[in-house]
Amino acid sequence: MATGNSSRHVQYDLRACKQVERRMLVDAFQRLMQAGIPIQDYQYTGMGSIHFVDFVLMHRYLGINKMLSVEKNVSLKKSIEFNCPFGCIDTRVADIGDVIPDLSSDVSHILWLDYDGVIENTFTRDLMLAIQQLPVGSIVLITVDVDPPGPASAEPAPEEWKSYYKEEVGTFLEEKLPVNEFRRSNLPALNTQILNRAIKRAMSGREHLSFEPLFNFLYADGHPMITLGGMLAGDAQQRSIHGSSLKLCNYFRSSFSDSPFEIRVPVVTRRERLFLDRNMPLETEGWTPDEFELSVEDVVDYKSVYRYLPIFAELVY
Amino acid sequence: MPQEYAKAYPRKRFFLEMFTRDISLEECILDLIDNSIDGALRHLQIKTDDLLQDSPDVVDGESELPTIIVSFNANEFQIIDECGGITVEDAKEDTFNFGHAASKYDDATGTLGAYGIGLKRAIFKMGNHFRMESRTADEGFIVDVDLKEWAVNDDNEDDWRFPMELIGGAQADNPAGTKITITELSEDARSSLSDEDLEIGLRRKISRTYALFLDRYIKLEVNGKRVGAIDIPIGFSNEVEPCIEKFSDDDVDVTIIASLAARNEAGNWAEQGAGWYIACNGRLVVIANKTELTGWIGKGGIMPIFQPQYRGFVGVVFFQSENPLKLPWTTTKRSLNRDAAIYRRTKNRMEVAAAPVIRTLQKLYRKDTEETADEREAASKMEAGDIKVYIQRSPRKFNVAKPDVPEAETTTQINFTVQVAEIDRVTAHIGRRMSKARLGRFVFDYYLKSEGLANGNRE
Repeated sequence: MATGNSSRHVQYDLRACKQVERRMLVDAFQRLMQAGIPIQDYQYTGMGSIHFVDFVLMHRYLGINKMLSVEKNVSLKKSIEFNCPFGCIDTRVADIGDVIPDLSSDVSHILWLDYDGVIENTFTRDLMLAIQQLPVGSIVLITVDVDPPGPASAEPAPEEWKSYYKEEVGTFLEEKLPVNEFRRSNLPALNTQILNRAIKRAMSGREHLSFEPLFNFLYADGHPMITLGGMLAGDAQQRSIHGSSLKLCNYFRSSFSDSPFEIRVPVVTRRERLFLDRNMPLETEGWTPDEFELSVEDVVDYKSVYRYLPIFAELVY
Repeated sequence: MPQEYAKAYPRKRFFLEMFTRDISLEECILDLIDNSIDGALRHLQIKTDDLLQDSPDVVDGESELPTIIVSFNANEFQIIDECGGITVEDAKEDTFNFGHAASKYDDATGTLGAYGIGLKRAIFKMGNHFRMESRTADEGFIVDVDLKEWAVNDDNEDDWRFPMELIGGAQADNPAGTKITITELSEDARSSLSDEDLEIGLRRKISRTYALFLDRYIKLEVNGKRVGAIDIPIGFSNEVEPCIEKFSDDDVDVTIIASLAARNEAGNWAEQGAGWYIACNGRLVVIANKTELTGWIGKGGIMPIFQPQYRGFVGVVFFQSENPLKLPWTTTKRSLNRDAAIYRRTKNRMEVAAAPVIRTLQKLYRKDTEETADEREAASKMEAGDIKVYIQRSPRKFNVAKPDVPEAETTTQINFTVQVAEIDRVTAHIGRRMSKARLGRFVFDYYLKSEGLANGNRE
């Protein structure tokens, strides 16, 4: 976690980190399009709820016009239909696991399993189903909460967390893991390992393809979350990825064993931003502004995300 | 120095005594039936591609089906078929060799016979004397051998031949076909063939293994009694579209069909027939499987562990290839070779095909794990029919026309294990006895109420 003044790090209303993540994904897909992957012809399937933020971005900046938003909560059915921003978005109230088998094999897909909870066995099952089924070129993303399982107010109890993980996803864990592996600070890495193993297991039946990692994000607007993403790639897609400008991006991850890209958004005022931007991209290490207080770490964090931050409060609907 | 040599000859004794040990008598009989069926398919000119698709046109009327008659007792084993016979050329060059020549693989009309040892192994295992009489339309032959005498000379290639007598081709009272008679049975064969259990087991094995051939391409009898096929209980209904997937993989054509099961006579789904069926060139190697062999593994996989609520599931996989060696079966052709790469790839797709059917079955059991009105209604609509109909249809996704069922769950189940002592303590504390299900519900409701979470309250 970043050090420095905590008033620079807590930002509950805007979910700034999530928005940075979305903008980075769109940026990545644009670069893949430049490399020849026809993202604009893909179908985007996500869990838009009543806000549809990712859908708006995908349609506006990539031109994707086959879209499906899936929501499990039956009581939001009307709100979802009311808030749907574009006519090319289909909505469906169902469990995502029911929707995946119905996805067409005639198009490539971007499927974002954007779960908002701690990992469950249904998550890995859905992930494996998607990977076993979707056609070559498809991109699968999965987001999970990596807070410890159980009520927030509970005492730290890694032994209980361990038994939760064993119960839900034990088949993706080694037999004799020490309780220490389940400490809070290791949960992001542990979840990455579990999801990576689920992906490998699903890929074992798809011998002429590989799953090319693209993203490994770690961030916390409230709960700490990780997002893993990659493409079901044949030779052509592999060449396109490795020939694209995506490889130059700081947020790109070609392997899930590498440390994740941590999205940290320091809280800065509008005036502070304009000032900082005049010094971006930052060449000098250790630079901090003289005109106001901002730590070295916060400046570094700002530099890593500034191009993806909304400049003003951006209305996305 | 003149070149020295160590002998590395095959010995007749080895073939007569050793290589028959690893296979059962029942399997040997099935090998002979394989050969007859292969003959029938060749004779009817049915290629592997057309298996199960063409049968209505090929054979009109049941009485025209080629027959295979198996009969045995303590003294003799006999199999007589009217499946077209073996040509003299084949008999001279191939039939009695151990294994096929390379060129034979190239133009294999390849169905069930793969290795070229079934006939010999069966004969050697069962007895000391065999007689094979075979006629095609134009020609015929008889081979009649006493194996003890034959075993005596073992010094050169010529000693490995069987003398042949040429006879005429098929006639009215001797239709084109093959008759094999084995006498002077070995002690093991004699005791097995007089055991009633063997006959029962054999009939059962035949009706399962050859379910797709019996009464479709051949008629088969064992000791005077006709053997019928088991059903693959896949269901048909106007409201249900099965999942059908077709693809080719390394010279093998694969068809996957998954759907709800057909109802039995009582109008329900029967657990026994549920699960996956897998056939290689029409021969069933996996029947009604509900284990991890076909993906029922629960957590860590896509399909759940099989439970009675999934008894409405039937899936069928057909592997067809002109080269039987590419099929994912074991050398005995009795079971699946689960490690075959093509099976691993296909299993992937089987799980994907099954997923929506499983979901549908899960939704029918929302309230409890016993049969509900929904399930009885769904089952009652699924009629029995011939799997052949689905094989001919184009690929499609599973679909049930039922628009009024809300898709998303409004209820779910909780299962957990507790110590009996804990239950006793809680029951004592409450002060009255209740069923475990009600106890669980009571405890859950207690928390909801005491934390102000019961419906109508907000946290």
